[in-house]
Amino acid sequence: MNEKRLNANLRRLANEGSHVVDITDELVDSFLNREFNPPSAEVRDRSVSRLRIQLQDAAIEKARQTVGMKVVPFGRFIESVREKAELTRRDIAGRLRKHEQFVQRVERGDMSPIDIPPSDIADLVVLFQIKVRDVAQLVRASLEIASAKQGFKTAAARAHGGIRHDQRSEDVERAMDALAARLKQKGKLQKSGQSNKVEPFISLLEKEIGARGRTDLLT
Amino acid sequence: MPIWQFLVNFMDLPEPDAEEIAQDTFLKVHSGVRGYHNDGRAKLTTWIFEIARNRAIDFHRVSRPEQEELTDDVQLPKDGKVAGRNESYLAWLRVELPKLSSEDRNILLWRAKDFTYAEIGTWLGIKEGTARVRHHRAMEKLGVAAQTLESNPLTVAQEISKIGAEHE
Repeated sequence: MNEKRLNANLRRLANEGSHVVDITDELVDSFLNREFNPPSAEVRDRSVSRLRIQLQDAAIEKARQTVGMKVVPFGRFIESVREKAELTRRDIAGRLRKHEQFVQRVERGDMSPIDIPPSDIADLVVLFQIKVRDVAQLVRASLEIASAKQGFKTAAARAHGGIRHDQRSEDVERAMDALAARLKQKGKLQKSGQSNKVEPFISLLEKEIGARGRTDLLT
Repeated sequence: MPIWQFLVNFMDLPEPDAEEIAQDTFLKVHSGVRGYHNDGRAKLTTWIFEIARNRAIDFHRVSRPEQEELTDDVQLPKDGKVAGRNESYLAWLRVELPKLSSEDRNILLWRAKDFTYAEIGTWLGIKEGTARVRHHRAMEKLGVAAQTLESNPLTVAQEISKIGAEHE
């Protein structure tokens, strides 16, 4: 009997699962004791990098399910999902190919979402898997709360020894956002003067997301 | 990267696909590791290799070419050889392999996967030479089966067609 041919076909049957080779502790130990040519550094680096991305995506997906949809400023929403996913700003910046400070400024609301290029927002929206209709709500909330914060920024600066807003601690910024959100809930906030810019911004964003092939986020 | 090496050398995956399946395996391990309980059945590494094997099997099933249709004109075994196209040989093997004892089958599969007689002997608690003899006998049984099948070609063709239909 032609052993070579037999073995080739046995391998094929085993590979296809027609006759599964049991994986036992002993078999694995034998396999691990063998010496194989290691994969190239390029293959290793690529694998690690892809795996990291897949793990981050899985963590974000899980965090999105946990966090659900809250009408908070866009940046705060990103922050809450990121923290739930146990990712750092550096992780997110790496995925966006941006500097860590970019993520920080988005999260803190130092930059209004509509002042950020739609392509950058699209990258964030795709990464955090946010539907465009939800983005519109988040952006509106960002504008309203930013507008409210303008009203008490001077007071906040006085209360914190005149420290500039970009140098105040994260907690102070969060507290101000929370206060503004509460005022918004009570209907005590005036509509932002920029609210008419939301629709054109969302249109541009839709184009960017469509170009990335993520039509699932457009529904 | 033992998983990658396992997928390339043991499960015969092309290197780029092995990369992808290895990542997939780790992702599955990551999401399911809390469900792993060392109940004395298998070590964590074994569990991970099992996941990799199953993913590789899925890959092979999806990517394999359509099986050739089995007909009565299948070339029949001759002197322990199955002549003709490889799909016929595979079909014949699919029929005959389950007829062997599980130990014979395992020995054949382990050898086909390049494990040494010494390794097989250790797993079965027998000497290396005994493992060699058992492998030879298992091959002989297949060879005898081949000759038996040759003596009754109609039955063989029918049996192969039946197995082919079951696989569809």
